[in-house]
Amino acid sequence: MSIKAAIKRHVRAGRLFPLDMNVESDPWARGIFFTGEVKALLDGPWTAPECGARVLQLQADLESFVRGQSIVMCPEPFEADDAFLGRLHPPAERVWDIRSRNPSPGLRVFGLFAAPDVFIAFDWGPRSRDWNGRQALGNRYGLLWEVAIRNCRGQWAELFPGHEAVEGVEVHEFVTQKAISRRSS
Amino acid sequence: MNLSPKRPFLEEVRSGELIPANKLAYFEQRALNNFYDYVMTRFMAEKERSQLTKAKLAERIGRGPDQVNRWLASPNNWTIATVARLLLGIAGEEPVLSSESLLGKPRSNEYWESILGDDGDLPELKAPPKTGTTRIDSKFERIST
Repeated sequence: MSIKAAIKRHVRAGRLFPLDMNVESDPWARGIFFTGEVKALLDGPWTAPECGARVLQLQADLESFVRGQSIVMCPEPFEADDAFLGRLHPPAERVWDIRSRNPSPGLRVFGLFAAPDVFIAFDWGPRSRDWNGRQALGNRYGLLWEVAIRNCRGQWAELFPGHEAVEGVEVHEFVTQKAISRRSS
Repeated sequence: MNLSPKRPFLEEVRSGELIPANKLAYFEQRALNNFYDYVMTRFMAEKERSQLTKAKLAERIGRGPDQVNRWLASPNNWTIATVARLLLGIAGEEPVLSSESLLGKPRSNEYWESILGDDGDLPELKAPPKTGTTRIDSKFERIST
């Protein structure tokens, strides 16, 4: 079975969820699918009313990816800075984070590319402070980042046995259009 | 247990009711992303057409390369002035606004299944979609580089 067929099967079985676009006329130019952990964040309920606004700002950022809008990616771990997508260390694990940085707290959504333009998200975390029941990821060299990466790899192995996530050097190997590298001149 | 159906996202926009703060935040972020996409699309086009670089752009608009690198990486700290400055430096253009209704548009035919293809394979690549509810066009001659 191809990995795309596997994604379809997981969606139909309720193990993966496609991003629900708030404006139904928006097209899907790229794909984001996620597990129940990320769905629970997007759907709520949240621990405080103000979390709802922050989550909808994250939703707008995820939709921007799906709508095929311009993004900056950083394949070099630890150097993502303002980039929308950053590859995490070690690159061999093939885990990336989608980075919704503003407003505080920044939120990170962790996952892997199942195919070019198709991102599977398994976990999320607030970057700088405890938020909505989750502990802050904190320093990029901290333990919670490692836990998130392991969690992604573990869930990937369960959902896609025999399939490897996309690996590559150039950003266009992951996102085919309207993506530029943070390091590009 | 609340068994009421989920309220359509655009319901308050449609009905004229108070739009909740959550949704206002969503549409503010969406607009920011639309502006960013427009400017970045112009940057990538000029990069291709006239070999514009971030360094040249920084020089042209009198900002440091680090600042321009940050602006082009994300719209997080953008203001209207940032959009004006970037478009002027990238292509000698100014933003000209237009907007369109969120209501009454048909549901997109390109849904998640289309990304995966009929038998699970990706369909042929399509041109990136035109974005969002607010579109910026720009005019005036481009600066030759």
